[in-house]
Amino acid sequence: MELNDIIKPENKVYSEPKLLNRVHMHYCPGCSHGVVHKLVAQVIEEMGVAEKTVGISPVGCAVFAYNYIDVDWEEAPHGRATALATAVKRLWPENLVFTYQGDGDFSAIGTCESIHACNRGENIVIIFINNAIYGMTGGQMAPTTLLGQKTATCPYGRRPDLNGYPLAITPLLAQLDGTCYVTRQSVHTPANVRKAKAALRKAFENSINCKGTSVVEIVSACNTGWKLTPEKANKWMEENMFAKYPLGDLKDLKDGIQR
Amino acid sequence: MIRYGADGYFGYPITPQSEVLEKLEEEMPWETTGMVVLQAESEVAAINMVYGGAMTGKAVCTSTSSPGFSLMQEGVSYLAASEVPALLINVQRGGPGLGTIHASQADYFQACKGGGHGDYHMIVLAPSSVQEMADMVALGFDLAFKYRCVSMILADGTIGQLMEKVVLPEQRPRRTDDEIREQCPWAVNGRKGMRPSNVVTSLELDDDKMEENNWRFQACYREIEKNETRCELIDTDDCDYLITAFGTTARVAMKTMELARAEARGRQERQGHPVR
Ligand SMILES: Cc1ncc(C[n+]2csc(CCOP(=O)(O)OP(=O)(O)O)c2C)c(N)n1
Ligand code: SF4
Ligand SMILES: [Mg+2]
Repeated sequence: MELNDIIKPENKVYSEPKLLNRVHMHYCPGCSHGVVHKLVAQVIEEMGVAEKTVGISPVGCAVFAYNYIDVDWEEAPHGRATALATAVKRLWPENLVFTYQGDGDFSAIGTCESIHACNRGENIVIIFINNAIYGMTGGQMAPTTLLGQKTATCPYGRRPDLNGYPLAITPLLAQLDGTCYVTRQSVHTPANVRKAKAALRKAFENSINCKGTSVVEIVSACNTGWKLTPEKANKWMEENMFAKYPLGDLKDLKDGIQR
Repeated sequence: MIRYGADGYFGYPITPQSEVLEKLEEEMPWETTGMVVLQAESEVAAINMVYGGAMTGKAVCTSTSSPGFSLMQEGVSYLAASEVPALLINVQRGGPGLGTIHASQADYFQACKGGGHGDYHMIVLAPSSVQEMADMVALGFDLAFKYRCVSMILADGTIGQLMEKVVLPEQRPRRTDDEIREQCPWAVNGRKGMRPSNVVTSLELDDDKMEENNWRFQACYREIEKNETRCELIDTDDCDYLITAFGTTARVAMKTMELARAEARGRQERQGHPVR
């Protein structure tokens, strides 16, 4: 068989997502944000819903998500993305509305809005990037920072007596009556990328079909904040993060929440 | 709000204005005009719901009283920086701190100078009667959409709690989604017809562009000052003294003026001067 016999449209298994803008991303090489962006662009494109999609970007490294994924975006104040999303979805009930938030944004400054949006069962998707650190501001401690993990504001390692314990917020959200789908994924291997993509697709469909709140946590690498090479960061994540933040579905109500 | 054809109200209870949220919940406008009403978990959430809704081009508002409005300031600054229309209502109570639940006008500077961080202003309308309070909802929304800025009704606790006869405006229909898309081509509500994507953000890391933005904001505020400054003039033609006041104080001032004029008239009559 000649090479040209293979290179045919019907044999194509991958192409660049059309909704991913052709611009340089500002993310560090090795960062999980870029991979998740690609998945979001792919899923919106495959579902054919760009005409009714609204994304809410956070304050954090992903603040410029609106430069990369070619849908309509609002940029939220730090932590308030789910409040914005609540209004957007209630005012435009047919739209797909998602927030994209870091762990500081979602589970520190925005905890109140995060919990209440989930508890009201807002028909939105929360993409929660848990990298156990404040990437954007230079590597300070996040609520999700692991015990012993060194950051700029716990330079000798996180201590429970000084800093309390790592916050796993997703299991709390799974207990709320308003959430229909709560899952924890990662994007550090091709197999995990595929699983994360399927999770995003399910969550996005839930938003469109008004089944309740979907939370997709992505346990992510911030190699820069962790001061590791991209490769070592992925390894560190597997060895340390997954013990505290195990991957898998925490809740999946096929028919949505009770109203 | 319902009669204006507003699309959404997001609020959190605080005296002396919780009646707004209570009445809206009782009226259930989502079953008649389709207006969304939601009790938020805090004023921080409420203002951010307003922000989220305003960026989609919908006519959205909130109401609160002084401590609640302080909590909202970050969001108000974002609204102003993003040049999106919204209506905010502060029914002032006395402060600082938790203060009192009784009427005050102490948030005057917060309202007129901006309130939150950065150099911005709002259109501030100050009613002195229930009628004006009702009329200023439409005026506030219309001006906010005209200039793409934040309008605020600065009432006080007395106006907030007052019962007076009022002629309510005619019911206006809510704009359809297509009308909103046409009126607000900048709005974030999905790329209908795969139009180029819209982004509303208050972030601008390029200092030159941020300066440009600020000049544009200031130009807009000057334009508003020129076109929209308004007050009610009462018996000013022949005055020796001019009293300026707003809100409840304006009513006190009007009565004071009436009494002063009556007294002056009496004196003039006694002294044989012509009575004006
Ligand atoms: C009100 C407010 N407080 C603090 C900040 C500063 N700030 C910007 S990003 C950030 C932390 C972001 O961390 P995270 O949400 O984990 O996102 P990441 O960068 O790790 O993706 C902070 C504290 C801000 N912009 N606004
Ligand atoms: S600092 Fe961390 S989260 Fe931010 S872009 Fe770099 S690797 Fe990603
Ligand atoms: Mg983080």
